[in-house]
Amino acid sequence: MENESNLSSLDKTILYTIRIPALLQKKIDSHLQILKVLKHPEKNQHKWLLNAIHKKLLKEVNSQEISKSTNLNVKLDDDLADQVDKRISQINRVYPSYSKKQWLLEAIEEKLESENDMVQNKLAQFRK
Amino acid sequence: MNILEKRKIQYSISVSQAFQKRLNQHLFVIKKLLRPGCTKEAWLTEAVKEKLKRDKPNIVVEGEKRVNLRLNLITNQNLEERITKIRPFHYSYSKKKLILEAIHEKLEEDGEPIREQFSKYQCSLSASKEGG
Repeated sequence: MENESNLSSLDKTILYTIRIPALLQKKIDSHLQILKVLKHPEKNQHKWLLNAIHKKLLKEVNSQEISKSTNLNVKLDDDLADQVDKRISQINRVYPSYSKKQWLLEAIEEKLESENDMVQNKLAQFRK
Repeated sequence: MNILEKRKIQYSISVSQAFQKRLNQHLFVIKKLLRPGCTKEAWLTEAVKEKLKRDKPNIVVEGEKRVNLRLNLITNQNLEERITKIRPFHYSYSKKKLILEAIHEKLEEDGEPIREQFSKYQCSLSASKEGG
């Protein structure tokens, strides 16, 4: 009976709802689309997310390392900072919790993404 | 030059180590191979200017997406334990942060081999079409 209750408690799941940036969701979607074409066992989003968490936990528990968060300093001149503020207040009318940090991170991510091919091509040329 | 023109406002954003590493690697290639003399500050300012240009005032940005995750009790316990270990070093570290880092890391690690596998698959598809 005790085993049974243990088993049933192991079967229990906890539901988390997290909000992730739209850009990240797009990345996940396009990655999963490729996995679907390749008939990869991780083609299901939920399975893929769970594996990401398991992989990270396993990696960190084995290394005993504490993942550091680092600060990134973005310096903007007055005029540019003002334009960013205006943009955020426009967005906040629709998404009140949207932050400046989120917008700045998206700007950096989008630039990284747009220059990625160029950088990879240059690296490939350099390696030849 | 006017004093106001020189004034800069600094934003300090906390990012994961993996993100910082990716950004530094990208900037290293930019500085060494593509645009010598380009600084991190200039590149970050460009990123902001480019996004401002892209973001038209009448276009509403896509907000955040909700993702549901069902974790079993063991995984949940492992997550909680991990957060408890990290908290003394980073008091604002959260379960959400860990999950987001896990997603970024997996995308980073799996991205390249999966893309290679996909291009091989596309090559084999086009070869079989030509053959057939």
